[in-house]
Amino acid sequence: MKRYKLLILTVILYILAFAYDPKVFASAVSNTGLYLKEMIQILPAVFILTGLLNAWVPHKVVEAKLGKESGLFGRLISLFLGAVSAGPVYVAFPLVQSLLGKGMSVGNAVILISAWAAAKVPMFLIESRFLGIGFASLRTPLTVIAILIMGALMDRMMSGSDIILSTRDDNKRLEAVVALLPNQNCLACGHKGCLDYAKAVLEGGASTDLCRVGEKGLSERLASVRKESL
Amino acid sequence: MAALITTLTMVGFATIPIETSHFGKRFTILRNLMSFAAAMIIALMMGAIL
Repeated sequence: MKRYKLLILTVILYILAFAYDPKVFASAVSNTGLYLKEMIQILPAVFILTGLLNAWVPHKVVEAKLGKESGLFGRLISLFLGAVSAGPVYVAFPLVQSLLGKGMSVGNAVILISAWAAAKVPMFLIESRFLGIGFASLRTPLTVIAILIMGALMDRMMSGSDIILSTRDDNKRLEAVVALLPNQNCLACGHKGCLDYAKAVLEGGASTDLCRVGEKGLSERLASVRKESL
Repeated sequence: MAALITTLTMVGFATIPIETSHFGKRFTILRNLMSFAAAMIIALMMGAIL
């Protein structure tokens, strides 16, 4: 019931809006419709992309290119990924969470999200049209600089495992652990698939070194996630 | 100059609950505060330049 708190509140607000003024209600509904349409158009693509990423891109690659040691190059790649995106920011969250689980640094996560929110190519084009190319050409580079600085600062203040451990929603935490696993569902660990093994590690106290297909260091990563969430 | 506050697309007020559930309270608060500060600074700079 608690999960639907926000939804119930929203429905109540809609009812109140209707009682207050049906026109307000109508415009609220049509706005919501637009947002839903936008989400439906982009979310499936992002989920598919995230799933493929989970299954195919090894931890090693993400950590090397986007992790803490990847330096300026990693930051630029993250910036680029955010800049060529489409859709609202929150669509990026599952993707970024998966990348974080695979070893992306916190700073790069912030860069990606911020670029997705405020420095993407489609936005630049629209902005030029409405506010003038002078405006857009000044705001965008300034924003990019700010984003890179924010990334560097966040790197000093937090680490990736801090994030995995602080996600309050148990489902999200489970997703984060699943992102650490190879997601081949080979059943070699003796569990019914990677999701099952992730659950067993988090809640059932299963041994963290059962995964034969996992990369080096997986056992330690799983152990550290489990230890701190207890 | 007030128009430059459009940079506040970086601070997702309505998206804070979902950002928190994905990344945790600390990350969300830090990122949004920093984005806000950045937006202010950018707006001031643009006001000075334009």
